[in-house]
Amino acid sequence: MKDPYNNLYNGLCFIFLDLKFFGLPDIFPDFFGYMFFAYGIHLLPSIRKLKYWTRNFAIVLTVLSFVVELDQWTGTLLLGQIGVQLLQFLLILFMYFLFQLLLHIHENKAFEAKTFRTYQIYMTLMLCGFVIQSFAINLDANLQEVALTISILLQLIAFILFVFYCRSGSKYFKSKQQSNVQSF
Amino acid sequence: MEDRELFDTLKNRPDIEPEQAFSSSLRRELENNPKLKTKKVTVAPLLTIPMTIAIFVFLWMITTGQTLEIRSTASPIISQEKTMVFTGGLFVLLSLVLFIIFVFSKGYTKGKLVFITFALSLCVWVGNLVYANW
Repeated sequence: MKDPYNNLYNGLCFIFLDLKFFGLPDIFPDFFGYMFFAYGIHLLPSIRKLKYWTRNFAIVLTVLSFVVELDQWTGTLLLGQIGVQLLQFLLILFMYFLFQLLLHIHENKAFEAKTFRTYQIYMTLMLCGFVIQSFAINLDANLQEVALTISILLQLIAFILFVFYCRSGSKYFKSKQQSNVQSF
Repeated sequence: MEDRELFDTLKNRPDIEPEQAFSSSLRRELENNPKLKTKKVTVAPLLTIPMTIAIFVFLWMITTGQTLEIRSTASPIISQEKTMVFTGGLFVLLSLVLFIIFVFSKGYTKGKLVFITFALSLCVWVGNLVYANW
């Protein structure tokens, strides 16, 4: 069986990293990230239909982010920055649902506690980052730069936290698989 | 698995004769009491439906390039007003950030408070967009 946490890790990497070189569009498009998320959630165990809701949410976000990316690639900029920021908010909402799923499926107490701590810090950092970023629209150029830097820093810390969480998630997954093999 | 166990226990439970006097008195109480009959209306759908409509209308207005008519009427010209708006904005920002930190440090995973953090964040974003377009 494939590791779901690796897929979650890849998903967030694709969404978080915006690499634009030599005038080329983003080489890590966001909708690939949401596809990875959908596949990763598909591999996770199910609980009270939460998995299906979250996976469907990821699929909806795949379509939405594809529309936003297409808008940027073609240069029509019909949605512009608003589309990007709306997607950012939807990503936070999606991560909330993903954490709801992750909080319920682990049988290991220590790992469950780690999930909970990650949930607390991740949601706080991302929401604070989003709020500061939304206030930055109305600030002067200098202050705007400061506010945006703070917001990006908060989001970067949240991203790194989730990466570490995914690493320990794959370790947990491997140990669980090994114990399953031994029990056979 | 859990559902199966629950179903089995429910199926195997001893059948106790229902207490008819109690249930009829309960029914009478329910029928007579108008308070229990009224449907409970929560704040969440009351707030979310108009908010969602407002957001979609606003996004549509912005994306189709229509200007908001209030633009010319209310733009703070005097510097004092600007400072006041800035201080007010800073106050809202700080209180919202503190509220978010409070809710998540308390460890709520669901419920009204978590819903309010999301709703307020969205409101703040939309409010800033509206203000920027004035």
